[in-house]
Amino acid sequence: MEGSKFEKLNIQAIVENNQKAQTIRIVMSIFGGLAAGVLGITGFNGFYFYIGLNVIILIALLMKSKFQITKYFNGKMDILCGDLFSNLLCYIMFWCLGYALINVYE
Amino acid sequence: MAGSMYESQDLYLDPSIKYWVLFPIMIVMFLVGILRHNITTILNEGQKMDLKDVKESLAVKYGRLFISNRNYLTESAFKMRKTYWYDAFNLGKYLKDPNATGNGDMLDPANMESTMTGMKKGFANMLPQYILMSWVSFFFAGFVIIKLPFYLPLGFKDMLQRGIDTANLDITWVSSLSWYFLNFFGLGGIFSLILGKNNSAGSAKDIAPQIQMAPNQKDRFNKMHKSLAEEVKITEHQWALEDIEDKILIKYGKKKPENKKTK
Repeated sequence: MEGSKFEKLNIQAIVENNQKAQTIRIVMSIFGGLAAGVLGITGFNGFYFYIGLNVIILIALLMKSKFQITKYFNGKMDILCGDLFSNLLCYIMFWCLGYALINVYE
Repeated sequence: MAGSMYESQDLYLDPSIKYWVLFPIMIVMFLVGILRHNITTILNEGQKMDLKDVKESLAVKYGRLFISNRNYLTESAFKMRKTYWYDAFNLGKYLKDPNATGNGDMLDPANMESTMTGMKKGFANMLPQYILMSWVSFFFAGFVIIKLPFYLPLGFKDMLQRGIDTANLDITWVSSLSWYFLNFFGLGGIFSLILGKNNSAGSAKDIAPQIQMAPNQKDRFNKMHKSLAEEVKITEHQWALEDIEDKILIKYGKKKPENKKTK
């Protein structure tokens, strides 16, 4: 069945969707990092927190795309993790910042 | 404060360290990134493409579009375009210089310019980071700035606490250089948020590819056109709207899909 697959996807729309998902992830890592710092999360709990946030974002994106990923995104990996590593670095920086501001310099 | 292992060593940090060390490093790195992005944008505006450059790259684009959309053309139109584009690509009709040879010897004086441009770019990318790093490690030496919320192996102690000569200090208390590195890696996300994805603010990830030299690009399009000629030559046409009546009837449930297995 050729008809069921979307052969002709609008590339511009897919690029826009990817960028929007990436923007959401970066904003999430910034504010998630600050939140983790303010809450005083230390050690591996912070990384679990980050993974949990990513899962929440993933579920939200899936709900927004009505569980039809291939219709809105090119390939599943893009939506599943995005640019996970550089977002993690961003998260770590804001985690340290929030932790230092609230819990170290009281 | 937090977990029990974190209570072992508590330092009281002067709040003015926060205002005079922590924030300035972050703000300066952020502003330098924005400045670099703008300077790079301004410098790149000078390089203009002339008509032939545009022609050769657009020909490649057209060829790819033609190959991917060939089934939506009628057969006669497909054959016409196929012969035309095969000749055009094979003979180099749209090439800037059909006789360009790409034996890219880097030290050849003709290619020296492009090699130098690549090196200059790589150097210009690294330089601000070196300057910033030496500024931080010279100007803010000896400050304990922040406490990391996670543990790192003891082997990192030299790197994280450079400039603080306290042997028994807990490894989570780090110096200004570590804060510099945290910013260096972490600000890339903010730059891509503010300046767009393909920014040139110079975060960690776009330094690495620029160190390697730019490949000799003179005959890049010649090779592309040759390979596209081959591709155009072997494409076959299959009319996409063949038995479209049956397909539509099957799709809307007016007709049973009988002969699907034979296809």
